[in-house]
Amino acid sequence: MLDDAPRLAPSEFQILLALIDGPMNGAAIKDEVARRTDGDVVLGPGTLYTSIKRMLDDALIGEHGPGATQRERVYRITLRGRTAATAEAKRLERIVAHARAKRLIPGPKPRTAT
Amino acid sequence: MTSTRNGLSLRVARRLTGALLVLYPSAFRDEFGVAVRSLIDRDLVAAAAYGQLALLSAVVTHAWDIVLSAVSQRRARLTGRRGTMANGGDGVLAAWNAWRRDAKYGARLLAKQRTFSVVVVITLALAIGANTVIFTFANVLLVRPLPWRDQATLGWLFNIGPQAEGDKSRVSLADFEDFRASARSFSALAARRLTTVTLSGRGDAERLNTTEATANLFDVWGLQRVAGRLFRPGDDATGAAPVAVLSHQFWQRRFGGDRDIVGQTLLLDGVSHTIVGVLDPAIEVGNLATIDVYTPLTLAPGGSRRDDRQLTITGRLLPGVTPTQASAEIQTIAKRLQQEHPQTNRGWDAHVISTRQAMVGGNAWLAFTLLGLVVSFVLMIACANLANLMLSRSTERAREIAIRTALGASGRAIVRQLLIESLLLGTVGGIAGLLLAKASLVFIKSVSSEGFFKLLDIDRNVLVFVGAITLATTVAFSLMPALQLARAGVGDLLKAGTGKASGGARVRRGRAVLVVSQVALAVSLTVVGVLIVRSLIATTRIDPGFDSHNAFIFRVDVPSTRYAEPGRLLLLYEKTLAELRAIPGVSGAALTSRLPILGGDTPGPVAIDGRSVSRPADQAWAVSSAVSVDFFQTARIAMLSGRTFTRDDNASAPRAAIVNQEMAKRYWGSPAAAIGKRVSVGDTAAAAPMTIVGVVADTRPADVSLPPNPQLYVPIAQQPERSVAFFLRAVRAPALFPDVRAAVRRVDDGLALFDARTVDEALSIENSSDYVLTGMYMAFAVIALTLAAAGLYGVISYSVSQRTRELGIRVALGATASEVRSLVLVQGARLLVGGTVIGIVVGALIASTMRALLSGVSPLDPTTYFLVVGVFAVVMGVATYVPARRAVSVDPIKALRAE
Repeated sequence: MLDDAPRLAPSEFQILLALIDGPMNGAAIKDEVARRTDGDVVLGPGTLYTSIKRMLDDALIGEHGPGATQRERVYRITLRGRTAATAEAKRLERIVAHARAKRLIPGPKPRTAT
Repeated sequence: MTSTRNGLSLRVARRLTGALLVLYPSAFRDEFGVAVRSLIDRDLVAAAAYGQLALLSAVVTHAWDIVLSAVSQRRARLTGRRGTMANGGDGVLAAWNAWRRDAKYGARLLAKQRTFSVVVVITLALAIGANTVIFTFANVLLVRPLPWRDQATLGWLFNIGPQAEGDKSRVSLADFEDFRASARSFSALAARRLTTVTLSGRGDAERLNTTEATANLFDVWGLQRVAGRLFRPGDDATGAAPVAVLSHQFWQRRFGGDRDIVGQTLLLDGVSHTIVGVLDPAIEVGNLATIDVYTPLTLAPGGSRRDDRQLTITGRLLPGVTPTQASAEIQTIAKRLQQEHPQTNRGWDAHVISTRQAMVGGNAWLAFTLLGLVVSFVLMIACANLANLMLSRSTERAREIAIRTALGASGRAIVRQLLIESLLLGTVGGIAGLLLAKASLVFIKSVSSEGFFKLLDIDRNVLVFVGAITLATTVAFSLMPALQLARAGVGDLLKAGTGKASGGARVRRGRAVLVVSQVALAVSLTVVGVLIVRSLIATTRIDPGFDSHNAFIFRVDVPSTRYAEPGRLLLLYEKTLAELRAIPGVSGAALTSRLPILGGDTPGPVAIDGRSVSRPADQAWAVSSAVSVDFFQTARIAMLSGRTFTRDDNASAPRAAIVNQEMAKRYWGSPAAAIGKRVSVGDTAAAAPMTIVGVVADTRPADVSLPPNPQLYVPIAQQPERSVAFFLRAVRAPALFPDVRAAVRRVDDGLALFDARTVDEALSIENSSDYVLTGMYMAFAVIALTLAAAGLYGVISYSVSQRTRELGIRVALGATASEVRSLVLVQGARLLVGGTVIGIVVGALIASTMRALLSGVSPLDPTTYFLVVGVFAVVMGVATYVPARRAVSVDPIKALRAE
């Protein structure tokens, strides 16, 4: 099932991470990502909404319903989206493990047989 | 930075970013447009709180974000592919790294493709440089604040004279006092008059440019003092102690900026003036920079005549009153004055104009608008060229881009790469354009003497303009090819580089349209330029009416306190003329109270014996001069009838006069008929009548394109004037100054001479701004012609290279060299003819709107149009012929084999 999930662009992964906390509208997603990454990842409005559209088309997220105003739509993560995000997180974890194995970054040493 | 300015920038920023949303597919816009907009808005408002720079940065960031996401959105729609992680992720840091990488790669690539880069940079530099120069004009005329405080609330009051004096005629003191008493639109009215005085008692006598002004002038103008005080109410009252305010430049130049000068006295024309203060240097703009000292406006002894019009009036409008409203009131008052004082004011209207209108005259606006139009055309031609160049280049690079795309580069990365390359070129081109503009300004300032040109400068506004126009041009010519490439599928891209796909009919037609419009623009520009040059040549060919070569002039103003008795004044003149004639090389010397062409053309009414005046239009008038006995011989003004003045025409002899041909024809029908008739100056016969003894040829007025004025000459012995110009005939006129000054000193070393130069020099200074403007038009026309030729050459040669295969097949099938050549030539000719026809029509339209600028040549002058068509045929013929020859040398075997 992990292989069925489409590969995520970094902006899409960040959006899914934000939506794990609960449904929110576009502005709130943007702010959450910026806050969480300490300003390292700033999603421009264009990038944000084109990614949202793509993810809507791929059923990674869905609409939760109208927001405070009729125009402000609120989005929520779908099961497929969760699956894709989990797969991506696990993929990144594997890459980090390789880096640790090669002593590129510190971390728990792999168990050795002694 | 006021809040309204901030609000304006925010509005502009919103509009800019909002406009870019059109790049998205319409389905996306419908669904998400509002949301994107509101997020952008939030950021812009937040950025605006931090200042203009932050706002600008936010606009750029969002514009970039929109462009990239629009591209990826469109790609996703067409190819069904999603963005990949090939760029190392989103985020500002990653983006910055990507930019740096692309910039380095782009710079290396551009350095390798030297021809392309150089052509782009030169094209940009020419277009941006030309537009920058014209923007400095606009900067001075429209953008930069002038030295008066709140100039929008100033009104400038001028008379409108009944003759060719124009609508900026000066006002008399009596009329000024009437306006001041009756006008309700102004809180204050101030008057000033330009004059010269002799400064004596401090070393060498010096002639100073003086402004006599009412005490409230500095108040109305809103100027500050640098030292001491400015005029106080009462300084201009009759009998008040004479005071003087120094201009800043005079204070620095003559007294070294010494503050102790305040309180000391200056001897001006023999009268002691107390220096009370020094004026703000901000006022020293244009002609006002030449003023040395300000003195209170005093009445001439015996009051002033209502028809003695020398004053320039400025007034501070009451809050809420516009110049137009004030003008209506002033017109009513002027009409009343016409009825109350018919002898002096008949036919004299008055009006009030704004500061900008006062600074620049009517024709100047026309010339300026035309220049603006011309440089816009140049810019458009350049953009068309660049767009074509970029299209050709992107097609050539299609293979490289196709491979990169297949290896995983996103559309976003491709577009970024191409845009960065364009930005690099654009920046270099923009800087080159700025330098070119600076050099041009230096050149213009050095060859012209008109005060306006000295004001031209590269200041902050100009730099912002250069930045904006560079960015706009770069985006304009690079965005389209970049988007087109990014949109294309890999298969298309791989095919594009070969001779198989020749770009598609749409692209070819697009190029053709570009080239035709380039040619049209260039043709119309050249038509305008040639017409202006011919107009200038016609002006210089006009016979001034006297011999202006090998002539030296200088002026002298004799103060009224010296040589007060007319007999002594005339003796002074005689002695000076004798000394001047004794200078080796001088073959003739004379004097006049008004120089031909260079002197003013103030007309005055004359009364003609036997001619009754029933309406104002019937009033006879003439421009008068008082001349010495041998003036006409020295100036070489032809004698047409009767005799010239002799020594016998002295103070005790019957009053004599000489008129010019225009006056004789106008009032008596012919030169012969005028001899013996009687005239007097003024509009009644009360003044002493004179008998006409001779008729001379016409001399041209200051604006040589106008017909000659009626002119009346009287002997200086019968009308001693204190302000005269000496006219010398000498072969070595340019080197005459030291001898002339020595000669004058020998007669009276307290006499200051000024405006000393050769007549040719004086005339060319008068015409210098015409030469500068004409030169600019021609330069722009040449640039346009070059760019259009380059554009045509580029398109034809590119088309040849794309048709290599086709041409190779034709040759293999037996086409001769000349058949191949004519194929190419015909293609070029079609574009050329189309563009030329459109260009001629457009040029004729523009020319007919600028009729006012063309003197001596008709806007539809056939010679001009034939000349332009001929030049273009030759130039474009060469531009087409070179690629045509290359087409012939195509080796059919190679062509067929090329894939």
